[in-house]
Amino acid sequence: MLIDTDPRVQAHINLFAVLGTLPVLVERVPAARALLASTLTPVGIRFVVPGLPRAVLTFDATGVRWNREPKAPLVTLVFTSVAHFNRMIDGAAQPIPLAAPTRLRFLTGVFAPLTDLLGRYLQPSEADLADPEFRETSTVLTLHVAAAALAQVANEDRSGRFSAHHIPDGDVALEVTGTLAYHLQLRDHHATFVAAPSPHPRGALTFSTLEVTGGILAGDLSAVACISDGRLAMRGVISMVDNVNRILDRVGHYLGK
Amino acid sequence: MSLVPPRTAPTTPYTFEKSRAAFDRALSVIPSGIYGHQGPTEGCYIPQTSFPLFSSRAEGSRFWDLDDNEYIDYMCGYGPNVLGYRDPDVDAAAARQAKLEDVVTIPSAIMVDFAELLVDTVASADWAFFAKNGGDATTLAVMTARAATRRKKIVFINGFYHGVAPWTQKLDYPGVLEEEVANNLYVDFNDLPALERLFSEHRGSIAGLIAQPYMHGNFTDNTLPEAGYWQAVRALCDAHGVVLIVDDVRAGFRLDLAGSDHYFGFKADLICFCKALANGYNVSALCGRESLKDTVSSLSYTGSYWMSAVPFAAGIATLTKLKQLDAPTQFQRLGTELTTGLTSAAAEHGFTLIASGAPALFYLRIADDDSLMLHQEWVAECVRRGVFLTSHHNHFINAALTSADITRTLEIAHEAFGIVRSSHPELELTR
Repeated sequence: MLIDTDPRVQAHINLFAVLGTLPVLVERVPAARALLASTLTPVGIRFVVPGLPRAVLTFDATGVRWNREPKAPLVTLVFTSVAHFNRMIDGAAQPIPLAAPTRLRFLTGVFAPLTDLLGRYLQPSEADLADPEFRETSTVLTLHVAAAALAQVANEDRSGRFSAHHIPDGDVALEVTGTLAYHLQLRDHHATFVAAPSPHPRGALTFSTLEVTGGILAGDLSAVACISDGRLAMRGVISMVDNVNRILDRVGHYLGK
Repeated sequence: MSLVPPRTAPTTPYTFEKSRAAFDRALSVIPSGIYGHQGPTEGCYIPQTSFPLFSSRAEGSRFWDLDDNEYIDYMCGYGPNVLGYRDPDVDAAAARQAKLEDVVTIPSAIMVDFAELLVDTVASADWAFFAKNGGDATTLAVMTARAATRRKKIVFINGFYHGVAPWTQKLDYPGVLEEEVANNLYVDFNDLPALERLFSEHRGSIAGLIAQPYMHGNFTDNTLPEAGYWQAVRALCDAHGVVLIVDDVRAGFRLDLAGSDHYFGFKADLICFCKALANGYNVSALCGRESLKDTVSSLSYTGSYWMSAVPFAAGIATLTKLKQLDAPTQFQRLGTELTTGLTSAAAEHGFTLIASGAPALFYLRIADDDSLMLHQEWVAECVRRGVFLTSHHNHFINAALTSADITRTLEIAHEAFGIVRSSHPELELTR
């Protein structure tokens, strides 16, 4: 058990898991789609963070995706350090934008409101959670962040890499029965998050409902109690699932309050 | 001739209402309800609804759960049941001792009797030190190796299990500090070149190598040592001044009453026993060679119940009876009969069942998928019909097991294979 967290790993999670959930936000939340409605031609945002791979999120009226479209104008957000980037995600710092002034309006008019909206779903207020639809979407987005963060921690964090080193090749499914199916793909102890069902999982962690998923992720429900009554189930190569659970514990060190 | 008995009428799957009710109570007052390897999570009860959670009584090769469902038990309490639950000879010896004394201010001299018996029985033992659990013995062994060599590092074989003390756990386990596992080195079983490299890279800093006599890890086929492996490990330890520790907690007295190191033709410096030592009475032991006796004496290591006399009496009765029965030979025969029958039953339903490890501690795996899910389904169907197996762990043979038990086991296994086959029409038959 490592006591400390690593700001570089936190930055990986913030970039690829937290901002990586923007596409799902846009798919699921009409208000997010409305923010993008006026983006008729694609706009790319490139994140330049020392020590992290360069990454480009492309936005247009149809959605958000990871890649750079060749003809899309680019807004570059430069950060002086991973700590600077992490402070931006926490809302405590501003990036250094490099773009034509007209494109900067995209940052303030679309990107910032979108990330604010994402933050509202990931850190919901009690009042928001009283709305069943909001609560369901909040759980879906939280699970997406946690699942995507699994791969970042497995590949970048010292404890996560130790756990991943003990996982053989194969897919570990993360499922909510009848609702969602993601998986973590392990190859040579390198993890890739895939937001789709695995055709052939070797292990699986299955939540019975979104309600249970949200309860466990929020810490309101005991995972052990849920396993005991079948609301959370494991199957397959349990040593794989067990190591994924260890990585998930470590994800909690980064995403927890 | 088919090794599988004729089919009998289909069994009615068990239900577990009383177990569930007790577990619900347990969740309120006991962490996890049932913590550790005997609980539904670490015990890999998949699905959880197919397994009993609490037992009510046990006798011979069987136990009954809280709902009075009866099981032929191939886990044997995860090892301690070596002669049969409530063995009359062991229980009588324990009862006689209980009438005299158990936990007293000074120890009973029966402790000396038990130590003498172990020294006479275990080939590598010149002395015996008693405690309670296997982890007490493995921890003492590692402390002894460090004290004797004044070195820090301990070599582990990947896939190891040596208890739950912090030094036996890993960097990513909650509650375990990095510093507690900082001196652990890892190498694969049967990989002598890697071990030689590791010893050379850390020359002069390795205190001990701790290993089970063969790899009986979970979720994977168990692996016996290659010819000459242990002899070469012994020679490497001698050349580098490394204390060779055999963790015989799980396999001890099931392969060879003289110790599993004796079975594989080498001599450990320290050897740890627990599970089969007293047929369920609570005692463990570290045995070792003469030159380490003074080192052990110098350590601060004791416990409130470590010199209780009743388990010593039970241990003497257990070892005596195991010798009378030539139990390891019996375990080999019964384990072979059982695993041969199970693999034949599997084949009749088009499944490939792999039985690995020593027959006395067989590990099972249906090899028709790489996820263990088919295997988990089959194990669950067996358990619901009265044969207690696990899907992740090696099993244990006990001396109370009869050929009639094995015949009944094969009937149930046959039925369970048929149910799994019916549930998976998509699978291509392997026969």
